[in-house]
Amino acid sequence: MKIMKLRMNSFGKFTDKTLEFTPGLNIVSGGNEAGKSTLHKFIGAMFFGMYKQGKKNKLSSEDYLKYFPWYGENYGGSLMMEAGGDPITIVRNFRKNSEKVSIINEASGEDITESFPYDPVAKLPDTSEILGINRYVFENTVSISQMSSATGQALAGEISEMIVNTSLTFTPGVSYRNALNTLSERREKIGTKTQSKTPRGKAEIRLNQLTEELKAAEQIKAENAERYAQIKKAQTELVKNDVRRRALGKKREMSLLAQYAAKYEKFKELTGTLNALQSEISAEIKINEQEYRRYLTCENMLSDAREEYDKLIMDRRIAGEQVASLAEKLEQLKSDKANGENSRADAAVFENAVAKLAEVKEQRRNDQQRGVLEEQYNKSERASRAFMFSFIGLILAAAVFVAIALIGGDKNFYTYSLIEALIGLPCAAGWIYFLTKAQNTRRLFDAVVKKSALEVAYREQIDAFLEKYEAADLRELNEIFDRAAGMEERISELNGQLAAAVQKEKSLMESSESVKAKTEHNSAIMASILRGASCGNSAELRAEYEKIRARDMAVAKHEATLQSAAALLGDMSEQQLQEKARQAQSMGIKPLEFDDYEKTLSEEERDIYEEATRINNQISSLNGAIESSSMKVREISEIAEDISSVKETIAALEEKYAALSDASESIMRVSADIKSDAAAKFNEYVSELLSGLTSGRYSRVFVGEDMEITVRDEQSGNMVALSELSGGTIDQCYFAVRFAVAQLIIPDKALPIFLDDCFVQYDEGRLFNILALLGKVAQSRQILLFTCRRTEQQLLDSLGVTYNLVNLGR
Amino acid sequence: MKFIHTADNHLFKSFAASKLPPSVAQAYRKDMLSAFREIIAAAGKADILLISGDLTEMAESSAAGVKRVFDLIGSISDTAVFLSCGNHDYLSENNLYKSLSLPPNLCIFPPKLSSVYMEDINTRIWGFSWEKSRYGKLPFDFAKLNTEEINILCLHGDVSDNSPYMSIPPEALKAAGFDYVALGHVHKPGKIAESIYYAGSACALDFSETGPHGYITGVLTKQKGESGKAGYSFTNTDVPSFLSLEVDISGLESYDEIKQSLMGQIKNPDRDMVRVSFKGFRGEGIDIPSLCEELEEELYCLVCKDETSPDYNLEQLYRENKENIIGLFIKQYEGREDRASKAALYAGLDALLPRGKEGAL
Ligand SMILES: [Mn+2]
Repeated sequence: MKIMKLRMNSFGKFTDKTLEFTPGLNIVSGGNEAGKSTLHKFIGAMFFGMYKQGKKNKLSSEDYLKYFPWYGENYGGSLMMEAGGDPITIVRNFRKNSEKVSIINEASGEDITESFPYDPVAKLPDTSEILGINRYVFENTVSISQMSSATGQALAGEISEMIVNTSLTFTPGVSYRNALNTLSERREKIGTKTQSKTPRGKAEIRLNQLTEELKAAEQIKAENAERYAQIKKAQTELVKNDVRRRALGKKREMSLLAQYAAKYEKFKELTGTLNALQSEISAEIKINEQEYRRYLTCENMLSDAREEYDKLIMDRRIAGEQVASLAEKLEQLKSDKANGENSRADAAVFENAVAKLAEVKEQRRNDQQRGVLEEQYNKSERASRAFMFSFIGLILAAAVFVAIALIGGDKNFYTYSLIEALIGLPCAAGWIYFLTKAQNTRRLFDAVVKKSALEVAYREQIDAFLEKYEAADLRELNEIFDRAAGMEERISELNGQLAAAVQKEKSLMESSESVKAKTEHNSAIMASILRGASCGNSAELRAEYEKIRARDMAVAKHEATLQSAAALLGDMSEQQLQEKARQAQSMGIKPLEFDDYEKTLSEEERDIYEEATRINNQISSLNGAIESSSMKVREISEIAEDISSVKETIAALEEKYAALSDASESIMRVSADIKSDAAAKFNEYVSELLSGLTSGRYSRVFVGEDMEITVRDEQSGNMVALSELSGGTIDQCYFAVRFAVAQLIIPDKALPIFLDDCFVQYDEGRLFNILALLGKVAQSRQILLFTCRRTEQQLLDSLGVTYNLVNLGR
Repeated sequence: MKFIHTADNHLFKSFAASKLPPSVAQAYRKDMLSAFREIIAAAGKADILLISGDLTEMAESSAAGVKRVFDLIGSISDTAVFLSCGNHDYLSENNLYKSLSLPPNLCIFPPKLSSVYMEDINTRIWGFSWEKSRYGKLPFDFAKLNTEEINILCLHGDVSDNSPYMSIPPEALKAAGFDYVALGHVHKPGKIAESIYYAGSACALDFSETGPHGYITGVLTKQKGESGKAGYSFTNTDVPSFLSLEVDISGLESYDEIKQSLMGQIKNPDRDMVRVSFKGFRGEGIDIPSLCEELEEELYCLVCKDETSPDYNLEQLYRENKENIIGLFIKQYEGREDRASKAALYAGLDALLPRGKEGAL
């Protein structure tokens, strides 16, 4: 297929622009903004339209707006080509809603639109049929533009990718590896059951949790069902207990009636007692408390007075006897008195003598004994004499010394004499002292001798009295004298005693008379009381008095009985109690003391109450347990919903995962088929092209197991990694690959090749090589070389290659 | 005598199958309980309440929940309540009806045909409770009725000659001579014959259950020796409705366009429970899950079903790529129409075909 002519009615910057091409090499020349790429797009759009391809919905492509005409309404144009030997023109309107495509066979002039397949989505004939490739292949294969990557490294990568993909997919631009990577990434994003961080893993965990939760909820449901069953049972028990309670009520009613009957019996008994007591209380009593007390007092006083009287009589008799005895003693004394009168004078003399003797004796005892005094006198006499002679001797000596001094003139003798004189002074004092002492002692001695004579005289006088009164000693004699002196005193004392005794006897007589009178008075009172009480004696009176006590006791008992009766009645009246008793009787209930029975009943009542409490507690505890366990879990339906939703999620994820796996496997399978027959051919052709472009320097291209691309350097014989080649060589390599794709993948269609500013970076040598190659290719295939410079033209001219120049202008 | 007939209340049911959002499901369960309360209130003014089975979803009920229902029934102590259990609350070993104390005014029929005579209204109520989840034939014969009395049958089952859910032969039922037959099991309320009614589910229980839902109020009178006279009316329960919609999003390029076409079909966005199936081909950039997220904010309840396919023109793709990997890949799935294969095909294409780049398809 070859493009012969095109016309852009309105397309981007172009309006009514017509361009013509030749079957071989065409150089489309224009500056940077001349619209080379717009022209390129126009050609593509003429075949593929301006909408997205391969879709079931018709959607405008991004280019629709990008190339919307700057001027003019007629968004579209026509393209004439030579295909299959016939000149064919496609006329196309891009504008939405008035889109139209017609295909005309210029040779016959007939509209052959109908013969093209109809695209139901675009609602237009499918003109891509003419090319036999889709727009994508068109863009990536027959159209080769400048390298998109700038750096050598990235370039090398891009080329490798292209070689590998072409080898594996035989579809340019479709990346086998990318596709597998994408699928694998998407699978990883879903994850597996055991990968806990992936959605699938999380869903699994959630599912397990929910399953557990459901199990727990089912468990609680069963437990609660059991609890409700227990409640049901407890409620039955409660009903039974209530039946018991009602039965007890009836029993209690009967028991009460029996008790009332018994009470009434008791009440009647008490009434009897009261009646009996009433007679005791109303009995007559002849004495009262006060009179009886008075009687008792009189009785006591009477017995006291009698005792006193007896004692008084006794005392009177003793007093009489005493008077008689005293009178007799007095007579005796009076006769003794006369005898005692004589001795009184002797006693006076005697007493004087005794006194004088005692005086003398006393004095004598005070003086020194005679011998002692005599000796003292002699001692003093001798001492006095000794001192006297010493003194005289010393005085004489002193006189001698003075004389010596005077005669001899020895003055020292004065001194000696003075000393002598001084010694002589004490001797003189001693002489005088003892002389005085001797004279005093002599005087004392003379006095002692005189007293001894007096003593003898008194002693003789006393002895004379002893003899006269025949007294053995002085003591006896003194007694005799004392007796004589006391006689009178004794007589007057006895006279006193006698008078007192007589007086006492008289007073006793009076007292006994008075007591006797008192006794008679009391007896009279007592007799009157006895008479009043019609009693003969005290015993009878006492018996009468005892009746008061008995009556008081009866009153007290009556009072107590009344209280018992009141207590028995309680809140009831006697009539009511009687009514109850009658009721009991009519029902055949025997009166009974129900204390014990009552106890049994209240025990039973408590038992019933406790049972009710126990059951109610059990029920409320069960209800509590139900409530609290219900709070612990969600409703089963809720959990079931969650489970189903998680399961759904899991199913969706697994379905997607399976789809991705399935797709991966399919891709690997088909790429293996492609690789086996086409890859070798492709490799060979790339190698051939590269060798031509590099003048035989690099001859072979290898794709390693790890997709690493290496080339053989013919100069060194080494294998060189693509990335290590120079930038220019990488460019050539890229071109070789692209060109090989264009040549090989669509070989039969011989579509035009579009080269868009591909060689800008080539040095002259390289450009030369490539233009030579293009010259050759152009013989069988139309080439549209878009360029902005003249170098290509010049080189082609020099090579002698013919070409058609299409000038786009500025 | 006046009666209320309800059935298939399915209280405490889980809406797992309907895929209702948990909060909505929860709220709806409350609504269902409220509806039951409504029925109880109505029954409080009637002589008897007939519950023809599936009162609760026994497997998903909690003990406390059933207790609550019993308390409600117990609250209308002057109304006699009769329950014939159905296949969802059949009297299994561990049925909670057996554990709990029944309110005094509730009679649950045993698993054999039984009757209770109520003298004050001269009415005999017949019933039968399921004790297993499946019955083929009707497990009893209809008894001969005393025509002096009003005879009512309360039963859960399928009026049909051949059903795994207790076939009640229609001719035999009609011939049995009941003055009223209160049926349960079929969720759509309906009249089988004169005085033979399905009350239907008291509330709609799924998106499939469109149409009215509620309970029947009936009045029966019978003079001695005469045949009974009857009057029936149907009362709707006040619960949100289920709405099942379909939206074909083919050719719709934005969320707004899709939203508009959906919202136009919904009367009460604040109350209706909506399930929508998105169909057709979804354009590039249309992601149904995120679309649903957006929609959920504007609706009380939304259950999304994505039945769309990615927008690939497989025929064209294959035609254009016959000899390369894309064509070969598509060929792998030729004739495999199952869901999994389709999904794998789209997943593969999605990975193989570059998107968004200049010159992409
Ligand atoms: Mn049901």
